[in-house]
Amino acid sequence: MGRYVIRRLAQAVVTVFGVMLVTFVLFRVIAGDVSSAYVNMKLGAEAKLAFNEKHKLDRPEILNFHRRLVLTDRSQGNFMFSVADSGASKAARALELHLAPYQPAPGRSSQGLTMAGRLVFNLSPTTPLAKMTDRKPLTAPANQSALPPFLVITLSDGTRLAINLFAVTTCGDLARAINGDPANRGRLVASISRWTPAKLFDSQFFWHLYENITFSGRSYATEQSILQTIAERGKFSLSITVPAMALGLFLAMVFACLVAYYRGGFIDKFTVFVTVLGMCIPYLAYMLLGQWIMFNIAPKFAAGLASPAAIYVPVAIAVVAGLGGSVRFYRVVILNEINKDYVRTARAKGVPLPAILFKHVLKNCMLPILTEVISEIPFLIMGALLLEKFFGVPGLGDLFLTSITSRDVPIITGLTYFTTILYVVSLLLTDILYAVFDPRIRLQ
Amino acid sequence: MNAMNTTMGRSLWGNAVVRLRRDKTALFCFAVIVIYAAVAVVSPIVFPHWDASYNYRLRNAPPSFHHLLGTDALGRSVLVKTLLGAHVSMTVGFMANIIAIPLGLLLGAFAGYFGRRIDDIIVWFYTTVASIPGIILLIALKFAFADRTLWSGTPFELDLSGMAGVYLALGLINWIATCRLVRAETMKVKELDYVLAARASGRGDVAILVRHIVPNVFHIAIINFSLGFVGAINAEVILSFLNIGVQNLPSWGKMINDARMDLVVGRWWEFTSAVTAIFAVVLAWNIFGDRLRDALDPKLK
Repeated sequence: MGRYVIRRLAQAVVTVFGVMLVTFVLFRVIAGDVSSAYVNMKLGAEAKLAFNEKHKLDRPEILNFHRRLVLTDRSQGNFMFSVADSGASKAARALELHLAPYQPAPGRSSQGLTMAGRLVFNLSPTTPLAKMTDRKPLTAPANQSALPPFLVITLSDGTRLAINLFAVTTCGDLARAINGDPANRGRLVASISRWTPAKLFDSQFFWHLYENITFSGRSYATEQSILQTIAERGKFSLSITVPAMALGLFLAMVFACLVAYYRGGFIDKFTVFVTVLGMCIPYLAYMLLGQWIMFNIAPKFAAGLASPAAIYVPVAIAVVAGLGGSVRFYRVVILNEINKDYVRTARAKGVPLPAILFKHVLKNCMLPILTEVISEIPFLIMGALLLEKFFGVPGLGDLFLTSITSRDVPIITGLTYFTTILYVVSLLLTDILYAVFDPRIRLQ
Repeated sequence: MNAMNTTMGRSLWGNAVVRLRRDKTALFCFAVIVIYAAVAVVSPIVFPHWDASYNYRLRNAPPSFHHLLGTDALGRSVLVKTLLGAHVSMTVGFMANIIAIPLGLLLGAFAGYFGRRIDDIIVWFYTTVASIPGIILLIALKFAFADRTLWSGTPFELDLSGMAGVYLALGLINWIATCRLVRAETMKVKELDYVLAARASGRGDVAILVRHIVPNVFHIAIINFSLGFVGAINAEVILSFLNIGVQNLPSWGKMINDARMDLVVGRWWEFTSAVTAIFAVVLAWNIFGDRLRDALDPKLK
């Protein structure tokens, strides 16, 4: 038993890791750059860099082998200024970089800082500068070699360093040129950082894992953490799905018992027919029809949450739409049980059918019913996606869809991950419950 | 398949065809599906200019002799819109299966036949994907595909933000059901005498898989075709409703979306036509799929 639980747990952990991998590939790698939805392009590349830096999108994807050009401004105070966090830190404002001979591209206020930000990637003393930026080489293009490019750095005390980039081709050259500038006199120390093994995991993937495990991801739009968001919005989702699930289960059981009681008869056939028809109607039709009916009865409850009672329209729709499938499922479960020998024995002894049904059969059906109920738990939190969107209920499903349109990756990732965790945990619970209550079942 | 039909006695497939032919309901449902498919193919050819056939004087006109199912908010015929919608729905159902069935069949047969590490990896992969709730994964995939273009610059350019993304997303979700069942069946089949005999006579793994295993688990893929088709139709409707599905073509999901405020003011025709169209084809697929399963899976008899 203990070994079974441990093995099952290990499987669950591996699955959860897989989910983190899938969400990473989907939302970080395939979805690509989403900063355009959050950064005003008019603020220039600097703002975009700051955004990427803040959300750790400037890191390499899987493993971090990067070295950084570190510029330490010693002219005022003694703080370290590293280009890697240039956008967000106050040091960026203390130190201005300008690339003198080049006009900044339209829409970019400070070409120099952009260039500096790009320097972060894949540095080594011998890395050629021109290759580091994927957009614009730092050194002058061959056909413009008549103009020697200058890198103008303004320090916090007003000192201006004009570094001739004519002979600068590698990062090491740049650091040496900055350190050796006559106006510098030790005010700005340039060096190329050493790579340490601890930095290896400072990558997008490991930040993604960390944020998933600790639920510390924050929305791009509101800065709110995932946990807080789920706590705030989740209750609206639950207020639809919990009553819907309870009522749906109750009604499905009632119908299934009724149908099983009259199995083979007209009521059975008719119910099965109706459930099949019900399952073929698209979910959207239930929603629109439900709203239309409610509009004719009491228009003010037909949409929104103006009064708490309005929540029962989506609840009713969820119940009705789900009833067909669950009645069919539970009918099969009960019929499987009814055809067993002990039922025949009980009937032969003269036990009345209702007594058999409610005393013995239902008890023995508990496991599949429980499985079905537990496997629906993850849908409690996000299940009413369409209903929430349609009826304007500010739950998690609605948030998920809004985040899709606004490209709020941390929220999308967090919600997907959270639902999946719930699903994996509930499957784990079901399996353990099975093993506890049904001694016939063991993992081979 | 034809080779099998000519063998002595009746093969699984021959048997299934005979049984389906006797089944009037199954035949009727199959006919409905064929009609839908024909409409899907023919309607874009017959009505190529429907999209631009605005008529502002006839906006939201109720059904009349001229427009049997009324007109939409731009004065275009709803009947034609519904017929054109079949194109999107049928294509999505078909393409999703075209991606999902070979993927599921291949991975399932591999996992079941080779076992051990390969099995572990494939099972891990589909457990992972399956543990993300379907609709969330679908929306997430569409989000990830939002501005992706595969093989851009080549003749095979695929813009994943449009229809191709819907096919791919659905295909990447639907293969799991097939894979799971095929894997289980392969594990049973590979222990059967004829596979052991083939192995004893020195056939290679690939030959055994292709000649002996895949033909004997193929009926599972066919059964899953109907399920996948229904799933794809419903998913397309939901995606179009959420405005992340098909963009520039008339589809039933978009018709329902367009009609979301119509019912309340008494304009029922657009909504009703779309829902009826979906209902009929889903019902036909469901019943036909059930009958097909009964005919192909002798154990269920």
